[in-house]
Amino acid sequence: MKSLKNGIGWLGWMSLTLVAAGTVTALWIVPPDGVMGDVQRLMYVHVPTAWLAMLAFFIVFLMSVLYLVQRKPRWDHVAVSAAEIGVVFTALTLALGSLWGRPTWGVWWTWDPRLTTTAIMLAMYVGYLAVRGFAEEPERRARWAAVVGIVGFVNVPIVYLSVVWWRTLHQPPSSPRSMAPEFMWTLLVNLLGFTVLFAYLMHRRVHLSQLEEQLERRGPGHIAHTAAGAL
Amino acid sequence: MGFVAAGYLLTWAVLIGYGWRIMKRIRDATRALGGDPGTLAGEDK
Repeated sequence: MKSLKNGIGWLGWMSLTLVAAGTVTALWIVPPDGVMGDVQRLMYVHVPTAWLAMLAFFIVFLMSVLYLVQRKPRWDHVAVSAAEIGVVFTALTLALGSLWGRPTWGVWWTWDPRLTTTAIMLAMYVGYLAVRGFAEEPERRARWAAVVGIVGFVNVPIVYLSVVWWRTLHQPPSSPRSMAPEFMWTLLVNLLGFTVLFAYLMHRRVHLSQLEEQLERRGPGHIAHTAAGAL
Repeated sequence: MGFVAAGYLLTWAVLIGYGWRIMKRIRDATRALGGDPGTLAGEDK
């Protein structure tokens, strides 16, 4: 198992290296956009965080279905891990979008369909995590969460298609045909780096979930001990 | 460049902070289970 530990460690270092390389390329190597100027460099973090938020919630959906079919705790561990990481990435997406919107649209926030549906998505998955706090019994908690994980996913395709379905301030999805090659390559490096980082965070967070389940099985004394140690 | 710098700093700060928090919770849980926080508890058994 030492090789597994080394492998996970390498995954962490590889993700940091790739994200660092992506940041250097985005900030200092690739030229600024001809229309928006330097502020367009936010795209290289905004797009990866948005993509990973959606990937995370797709994983929540998939794991929730699997849990309801097979009732294996492992699927619930993966689902809650993906939901928590997805919330972090969604919050980052909104914050980065706001920082990009202020100099380009002149506002920090507007009730644009893409922004509004993304905010609803964030609220739904914060709700998913909150629902888990309402049930003490692990099996019931996982079942309730799985239902929310499936129902909440309905909004995710709406977020993606909102820029196609409605007239919005937000630009439609970019593609290799709509972007200069140097912009596309920089975006791909960042997408790869953030995706590897996501895989690393997922692995660690699932492991934490398994440890917390072991603690929970041992009883409240052990959980209290952990909580005290965290302070 | 101020908005760009703020965006990248925020991204790095949030991701490093979140990663650090997960590691700390793993260490605390491993310790509470009686394991060695320096190892990947549960995986190396």
